[in-house]
Amino acid sequence: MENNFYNDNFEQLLKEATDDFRMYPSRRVWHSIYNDLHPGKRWPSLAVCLLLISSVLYIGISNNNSINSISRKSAGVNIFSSKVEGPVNSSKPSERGSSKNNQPASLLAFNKPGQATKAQSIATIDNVPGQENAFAPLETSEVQDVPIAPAINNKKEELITSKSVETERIFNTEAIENNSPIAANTALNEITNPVKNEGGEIISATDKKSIPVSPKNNIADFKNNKEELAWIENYAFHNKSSAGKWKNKRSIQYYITPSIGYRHLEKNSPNEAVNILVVANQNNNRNINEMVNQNAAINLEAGTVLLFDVMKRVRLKSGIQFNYTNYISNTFELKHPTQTTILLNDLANGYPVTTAYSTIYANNTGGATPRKLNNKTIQLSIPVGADIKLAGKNNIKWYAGFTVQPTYIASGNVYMISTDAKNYIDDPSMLRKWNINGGFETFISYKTPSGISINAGPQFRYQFLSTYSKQYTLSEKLYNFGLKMGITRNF
Amino acid sequence: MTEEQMLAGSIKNNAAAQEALYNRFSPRMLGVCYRFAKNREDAEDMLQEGFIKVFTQLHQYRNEGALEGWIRRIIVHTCINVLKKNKKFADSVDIIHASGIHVKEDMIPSIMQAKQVIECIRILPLGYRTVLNLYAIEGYSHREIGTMLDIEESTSRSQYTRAKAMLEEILIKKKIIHKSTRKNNYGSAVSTR
Repeated sequence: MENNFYNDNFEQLLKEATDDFRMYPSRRVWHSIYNDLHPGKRWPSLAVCLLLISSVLYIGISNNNSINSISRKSAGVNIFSSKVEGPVNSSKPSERGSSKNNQPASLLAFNKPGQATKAQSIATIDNVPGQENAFAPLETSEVQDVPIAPAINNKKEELITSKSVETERIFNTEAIENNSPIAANTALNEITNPVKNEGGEIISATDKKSIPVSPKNNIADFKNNKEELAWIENYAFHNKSSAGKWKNKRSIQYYITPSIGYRHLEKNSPNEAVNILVVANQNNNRNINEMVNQNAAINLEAGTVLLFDVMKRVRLKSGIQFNYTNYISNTFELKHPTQTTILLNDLANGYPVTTAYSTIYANNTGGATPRKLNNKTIQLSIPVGADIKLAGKNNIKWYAGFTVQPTYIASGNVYMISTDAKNYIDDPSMLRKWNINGGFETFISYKTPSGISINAGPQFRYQFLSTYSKQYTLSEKLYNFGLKMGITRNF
Repeated sequence: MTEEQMLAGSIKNNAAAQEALYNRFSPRMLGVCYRFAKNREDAEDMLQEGFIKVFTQLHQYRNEGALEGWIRRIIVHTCINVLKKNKKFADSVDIIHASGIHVKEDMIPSIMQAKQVIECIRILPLGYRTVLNLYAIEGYSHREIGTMLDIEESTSRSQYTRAKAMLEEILIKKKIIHKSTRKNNYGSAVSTR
């Protein structure tokens, strides 16, 4: 059985270490208590809140409109004109807006974090109504070389841990030794640059050279200042500016994805008889994919997304993306054009309609000149999705992500297969202009000492709607598999 | 505002007096809750519930002993009730064989002194932590602890013994304290941080 069941020394150590430990609750706690004790006086009331918000919005909007009209008149320029003169800006595509002129329009209208945070934190400090929520700094026992247990009795009178003193801080050892008041600059510097522990909590404004305060010093001289400064620090911590709160949650990612692209053909007709006709090669009911000779080709994707951490493991993302898709149809070029037909859907009644075409590209015809046809498209997408952290900590993390990508097909070549699968027909009018793609990826993210993260991992992209319009009786779905590489940085 | 004024005003449901009383004692009480809770948010919830009870039962305070001690007892009981209500506690107390729990050094945040000790206490399993808090810090007897936690007195004793051993190991490993050659005499270690 254990020896020394009761160990006064150890328990005394615990008691003394924990007795003066304080933490300052958020203001929310008091509000909840107040509302519970005074249910008739809920503050602030919803109506007053709405009224205040409406007033502020009205004033803001009306002032904004009047300022705009004044500036427009004084400039003498129609800022909405698409012919604004000025130097062409060579900023990155992600920073350009959608203006038709070449003037840059920043999409990222954020203050520089350092400036915003500092200015607003100082502004917050200036508004000090009273002692409210605060997160207490550590007690003065955060002293190097100060024994905790037995010798603490000797040092106790030196340490300001007396129960009669509510909040004590050791800020500036020189000031303490010289019995001089703590400099305001020092305090503000401490407040705007608090020291944090691994968990992100402020532990001490000065976790530096802390030494016991001599009892000879006049505590009362700087006691009030210390209390006030401690309150200010904690108030600022719990009432950070919005820019400060969201600062570490925003990031931007630039990426590029070389990949191998391919396609898959399917039947596309509401009429089953038409589908049979489409896939049948006379007496053979073969799969259309077996009847064409095609190869994969290099695809390319590049884009930028904004990332926002919504939870510890989840971040949302959206941005803009460029895709070049391609696959190769192996054909033969005929010496003379030939007539062929394509079966289309009559969208009005669902019956098949035969449309005649003239073409020089043949499928699997011996004797003619081999010709590779590039079926390519240029696409612009707005990917919207999320990344989920699967594992990892510190600098290396493993993510899985997905995006849904509404896509605009800016241009492309589409070579359709004829009804009898013997020829290829080029008809750009059959190219669908809008599509939806989905991207699925997993990647490893490595954060460099400079703060920039490097990401790399496989990605699979799939096109949900056919490349062709609904009229064509075949549906083509593009897909590609590649390696996505990117860099991410906070802003 | 003196303590008597705060007390009198709070009993009369005066909001200003209540707020003054809350501001006076909430920092230390949140520290108490933090030792019992899983995280800061839970600690604040315990604090909120505790102070509501304080204000509604303030008329029962008989000036026997310090007001802070009276408030502290209410807060501690509230913490225990919250833990029991969450039904996490019952399983934890029954964990006798906690020797399988290995506390890794990197679980312990590297911060100084008092908060370091607090965080080391919070590393302990819930049952151990609760018994240790109640016995070693709050000063309840094992019989009282048994009543509060619905466990046997002997269970409380054994839980405390194991908790103390585990905490001792953590504190020594983290070099917060060191054990001198004199038996059971603890001194603070020289901190390298």
